[in-house]
This record gives sequence, structure tokens and C-alpha cells, in this order.
Amino acid sequence: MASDVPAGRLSLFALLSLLAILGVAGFGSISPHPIGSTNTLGSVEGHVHDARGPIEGALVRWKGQARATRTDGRGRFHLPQFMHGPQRITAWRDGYLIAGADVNRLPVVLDLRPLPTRDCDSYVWVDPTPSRASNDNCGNCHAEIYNEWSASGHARSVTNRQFLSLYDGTNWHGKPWVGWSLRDERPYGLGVCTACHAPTVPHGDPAYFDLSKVQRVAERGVHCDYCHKIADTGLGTIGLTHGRFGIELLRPSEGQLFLGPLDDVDRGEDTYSPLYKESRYCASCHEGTVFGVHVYSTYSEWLDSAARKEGKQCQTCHMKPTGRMTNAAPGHGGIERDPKTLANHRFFAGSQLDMLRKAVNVSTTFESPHDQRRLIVEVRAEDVGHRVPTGFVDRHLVLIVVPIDKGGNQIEMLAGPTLPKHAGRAVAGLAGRLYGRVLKNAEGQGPVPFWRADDSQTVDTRLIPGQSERTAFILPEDARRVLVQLKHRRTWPEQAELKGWPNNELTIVDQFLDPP
Amino acid sequence: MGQEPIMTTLLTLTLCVAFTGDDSSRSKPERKPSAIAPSLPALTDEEEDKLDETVDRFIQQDIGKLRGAEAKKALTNFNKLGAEAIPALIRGMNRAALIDDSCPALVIAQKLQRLLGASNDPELLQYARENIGAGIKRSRHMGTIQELRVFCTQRKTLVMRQIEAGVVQAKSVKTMSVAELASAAGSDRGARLKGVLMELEKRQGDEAIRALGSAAGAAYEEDILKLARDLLYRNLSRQKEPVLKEKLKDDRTEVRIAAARVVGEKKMRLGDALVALLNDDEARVRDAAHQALVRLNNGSDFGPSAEAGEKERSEAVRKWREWWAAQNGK
Repeated sequence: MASDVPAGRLSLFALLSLLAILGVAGFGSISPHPIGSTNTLGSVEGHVHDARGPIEGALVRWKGQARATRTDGRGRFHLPQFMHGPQRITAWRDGYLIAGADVNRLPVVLDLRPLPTRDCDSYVWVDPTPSRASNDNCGNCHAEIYNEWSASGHARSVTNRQFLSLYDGTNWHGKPWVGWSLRDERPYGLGVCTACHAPTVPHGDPAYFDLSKVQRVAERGVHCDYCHKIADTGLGTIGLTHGRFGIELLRPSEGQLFLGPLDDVDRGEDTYSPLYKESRYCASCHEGTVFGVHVYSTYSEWLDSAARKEGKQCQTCHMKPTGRMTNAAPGHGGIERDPKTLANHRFFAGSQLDMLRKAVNVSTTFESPHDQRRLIVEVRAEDVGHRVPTGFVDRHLVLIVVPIDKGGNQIEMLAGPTLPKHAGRAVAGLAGRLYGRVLKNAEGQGPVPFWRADDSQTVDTRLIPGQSERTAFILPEDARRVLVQLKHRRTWPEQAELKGWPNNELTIVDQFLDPP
Repeated sequence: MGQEPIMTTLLTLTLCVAFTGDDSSRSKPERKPSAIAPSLPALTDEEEDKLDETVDRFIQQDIGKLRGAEAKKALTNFNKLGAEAIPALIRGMNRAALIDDSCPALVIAQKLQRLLGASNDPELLQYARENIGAGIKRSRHMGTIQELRVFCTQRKTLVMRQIEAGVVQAKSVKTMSVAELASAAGSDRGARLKGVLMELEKRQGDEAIRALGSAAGAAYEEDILKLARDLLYRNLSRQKEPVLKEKLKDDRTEVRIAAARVVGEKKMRLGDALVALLNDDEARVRDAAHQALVRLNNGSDFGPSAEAGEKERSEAVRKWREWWAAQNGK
């Protein structure tokens, strides 16, 4: 314990010496609290500077803790001391790498190094895949985050077979010339997909205009190193300046640099960016008019949403911490943290189906006016920041309502809306509703792929958050049970069948009702 | 209205003077070569303006500023542009590189790459190298511009070597596999493409039909489009009924049209498949199926007329269905 006071004295001496060496002006008057000391009131004071002098407004915190402060005009700070807390303090300011220092090495002086001023185009991307042969691969240290991300759509943005089959006209097994094909119908448009689906394919790579040829790290799609090199987004016009073209990267010419949502990662190659907690970060790829058609509309839906007004960002739901992870890099320098601060990189809380089940509520009531047996089905998107479904334009929901007689046979509904032909041959004509965006060609026929569509003909019946879609069905007299299903589909069933997709549907609701 | 005749003229002229290594098209009336490069026709300022307008209309379409028939026409006209439009495409690429919208520059760049990749004219390649990105100091498309320039340099080097070695002539189409022909059908231009398509017509198998079908729907010169459609029809005319039945359901519009024509001409008993095509997304397919049904019915017509509304069409479909049912599929 005796060491505390001498340490403070030593630190004052040391800091004054340091200031003298650095020739820093403006420190003629020293504050009553000796800079760099662990004082008797239980707080630590210190100083943040860069090569030119003190840094005002730097964010200083105990590493891994919520408590933080800002430096004053002379670059000084003081933080309350923890009895059994961390012994390391970190500092960050916009434009600098995060710095860190141990409090047992007084004085607590944090030296901020500036970020590179230019993006280095010849930077070599880091492979996310864990590998003994390559120490730096992301997954080597961040195993849990890597596993989450591997299960996400971002990891498969360029290799997922649904995407590729629409891109190059193949079926699930790679057989060419099956169904819709961007390559055959808009051969000059192939490069447009690359900006979002494979943003690290370099110009001049044959894969740039043919994603079936993508290789190496670029094949990992929207990968760790790419996402954590994003310095700014929304360049140009959101929705028209797509993916990579709307994003400003910051790749170092030497060493390493990662940007992220934590401001206390002080390995000397990290910096904090509040952008990582904002919807704007996602906008370049999740909003897009392609070939004149509004194909991706999630960001603009969020702009219009109540969730936005409540301050919710994309990350609030889609990167909501699982609560299980407490260390982002256990055994590799990571520290134990509040699990609520470590984002989920799967981008779905649980799974896509879990999120859909949470976001869409189906309620049913029976009414009996005028001797009729009426079933009211109410479908409502709740607590969601965009329409449902969202994302790729072909996604849709189908509500299927099937009366069943006492023999267990499917019978016809007496009255109520029925599902259209494009709902698929398995359900077309059955009682139900379709919630989707049907793209049509100039002749008004659809659904057609977006590259054939005339957007002025588009009909959008997707669920709007907070608004109920109420539908009445009149049951036949002999209906003993009613099957109510709500399904999510990735694309229109005719194409899914043609291409042999095995996983086009997710069943959100599947229940039998017994009418009174 | 004035655009199509000019385009047709330009495209015809292009074929006359293109560096294809094949003299078959040189019998057509020639226009003086362009001062830019000998493989291009000399165009008037008005013609260049029209080409610029076509590229600009495409850009408007691609960013969603045009709708409906206007948008469709803008895209069709852009797709038709051939080698004669390379200078206009370069100018358009440079304009597109300076706007926020990222799609048009990429699409134009890819089209330019294909056109330049088919050129054996070193002067044109040099012109492209010097003018792609000219005057642009800052653009989010600098990478694309740089790669196109590199592509032009590499292509020019290759062409110069071939010219020096006297081996500009490419591999004979007769020695190419169907897969090679199919690939060439997507990249070759002018007379060389004609040769590829004619060879494909002679080949057997589904891949040849598919390649012809794609060319018939996506060729950029009017006369090649027509040739591809004729060749596709000729090829399908040799096919048996099961193949045609399958082709009536093909994903390519031109294949469905050609198959319907053949079924009508040969009076194959595929009335049900033809009736189904009366509800096809494409008006030209519906028309071909209708004509074929009239042939099957020995000239009697249940409609629909060309300008029929939804109701009339449904009624016609119903009548054709009843008629076919009465035929017992015979």
C-alpha cells in the first residue's frame, strides 16, 4: 500500500520531465491533482497527447468497463479508481488508433497515433478462416465470432447457391440454362452484383464480371477484414451508389488497422467508429435500385419506421448480443467483458426463422354473424424496423387457411380471398393471402426477375410494422378444423422448383384451430 | 422515330468495315472509315449525337428515371449498339463515372470490354486506351477505368503481335466444339459471329439450341438477330416432337417462339402446350402460339386479337381449350 503515494510523486516528476522533453507548451500551471497519480480519493489522473501535443476530447476509460471520461483542453483526465477493477486505461479520439497504458506504470500517459490518411489499394485482405499456417487469420483468435459469421448470409454472399442460380441461370446442382438467369438476359449487368456480394474482388480479376470465378479471400463474401476496414459509408447517393462504391475503406499501407464498435481495444492497430452502431453502415448494400428497379429497400423502410424514431438501428436487432460471449478473443489477448457489449455476428438473433417468428404475429378469432362461421385472421409485423419480408425483392409470405372436414379431408372455403397462381401450384386457389412485392414486366405480367421488371407496375403487399392485415374467411358448414399456416419464401415457387432449391420455405406459423 | 433507321444504317455500315478477318460482308456499300480508327465508319455529328443520346437514355433507364415502354426502348437501343458506338460508349462511360449511380458505369464498361475484346484494330484500341477516363481525376470508378485501359493495352499488344506474325485469323469454326461455339456466340461479333451461328445450326444437341436461343434474343446487330432466329427455327425444324414439346417451355423467349412456329408448321399434336403459351409473359410468344393454333385448326381462329384485353384473351383461351379437348389430343 505504501507504494501508492510515492508512485504519485514519481509520476509527477516523470510527467514534468516528459513535458520538458516534448517541449509541450501550456503546462505552466499544474492542477491540484498531480497528473498521472493514483490519488488518495481513489481516482487516477493522466494525460493524452499525440506527437504535436495534448489531445482535447479524447475518450478515456478503464478497459472493458463502462465508466469513461473525456480529456480537457490540456489533454488531462481523471477516472475513479476501482478497488479490484482493471489496471489498464485506454484512450481514443476520432482520427487516431486506440492507445492503452497500465496504471501501475505511472505516469499514465497515453500517446495517440494518427490513422493513415489514405486507403491503400494494394492492401492484401486477411482471410477469415482459422489456419495454423497463417497466424493472422481472423478465426484463429476470434473463434466464436468466426463461427457466428460463418453461419450468416454475409459469409455466403457470393457462394450461396440461391444467389448463384439466379445470377448465372444454373439449378441447385449447377446445371446451366435452368430458369431465370441474369447472365443470359443482362450479360453486361453482371458486374453490378460484385459491389455488394463480393466487395473484395479486385478490378481486373475475371471474377469481377463473373462471380462464379471468385476465389481466395474474396470468395468469403462480406468478410471480417472488409467490414472492419469501413471508415465511412453512404458516399454518393444511398440506393444508387452501391456497396463498395458507396463505402470509404481505410486499408493501411503497412501494419494493420481495424475499425469497430469498441473504443478500448488497445492492441495498437484498432480504432473506434460509432458508424458501426448505425443503420447507415448497412445502407450501401441494403438499399439499391438496380437496372432502374427498387430491388433492395430495407434501409428506406427503416427510415420510415417507428423503430428509427425510437432510436433503434439495424444493429439493435440484427447484432443483438447473444449474451453468451464474454471474451471476443479468449487466450489471445481478449479480456472478459460484459456480454451485452459483444455483438452477434450471425445477424439473426437465433436464426432467420426465430426472428420471423418474433416479428410476425398471427392471431385468429371466430365470429358467427348471420349464422355464418367466420374466421378472422390478423397478421401483424411487430417490433421490427422494416417491412416483412424485406431484403431481396422476391421474398414473400403466404398465409394459407384450409378448412378440414371430420374425415380429415381438405375442403373449400365458402368465401374469402384466395392465393394467386404465382403463390405456387401447391397452394394456388386455396384460401389465403400473399404478402410480397410482385415485379411485373412492361406488359403487366409477373412475377418476373428484377432485371426484366418495369417498376411502375410493382405491387407491394408486404406487412408494414405496426399495421394489422385483417382478413375474413367464411367457413363451410362441415369444417371441423382449420389449418392456418404462414410461410416465408426466398423466391417465387415456380423458380424455386425449376431450380431445385431444397430450402425455399420457412414455416412461421403452422396451427390447427377448432371452430366453435 | 428517327432513331431506328439511323441505328440500322449504322449497324449495317459497321459490318461493312469491321475488322473481322472475313471479307464476306464487304460487298455491302461502304462508308468512309472514321478518322478515329479504320475499323469504324465515319459518322456525322448528328449520328454521333444520336449515339450519345442512346447511351444517355440507357443511363436514365438504368438509374430508374425512365419507366414503362420508354425504359424498355432505351435498354433495347443500348443493347443494339455495336462497334460503331465505341467512341460514344467511351464518352458515356466517362460521364457515368462522374455520377453517383454506380450501375451505369459498370454496365457500359462491360459492354466496352466485350466490343474492344472483339476488335483487331490497333488504332481503335489505342484510341480507347487514351480516351477512357480522359479528363477524370477523381471517380469512384477509377479502378474500372484503369482496368479498361490496361485491357486495351493488352489487347492492342496481342493484336500487333498477331498482325506481325500474320496470324490474325482465328480458329476455324468447323474445328470448334459445341461448347467453344456456344462461348464464341456470346463474345464474337460481326461476320465471325455469323459463321459461329451457322456452324451451331448444323450441330446436334441441346447446347447448340440454347446458344442459338440466347443469340436470337441478345445479339446486338439487327441482321445477326434475324440470322440467329432463322437458324434457331431451322435447327428446331429438324427436331422430333418430344424435343419441341420441351422447347415450348424453354426459358428463352426466342426458343419458345421458334418452337411454336415449328409445331404450327408441322402440325404437331401439341395443342395443349400451345394453348398454355397463350398466357405467356411475352406478347411475341403468345402471338406465335396463336398463329400455330390457327394452323393446327386448319385456319379457323378463336382469337385473341392482337389488341385483345384480358377478358377477350381469357375467352379465347377457353375456346381453344375446349377445341383441343374435343380433338382428344389427336
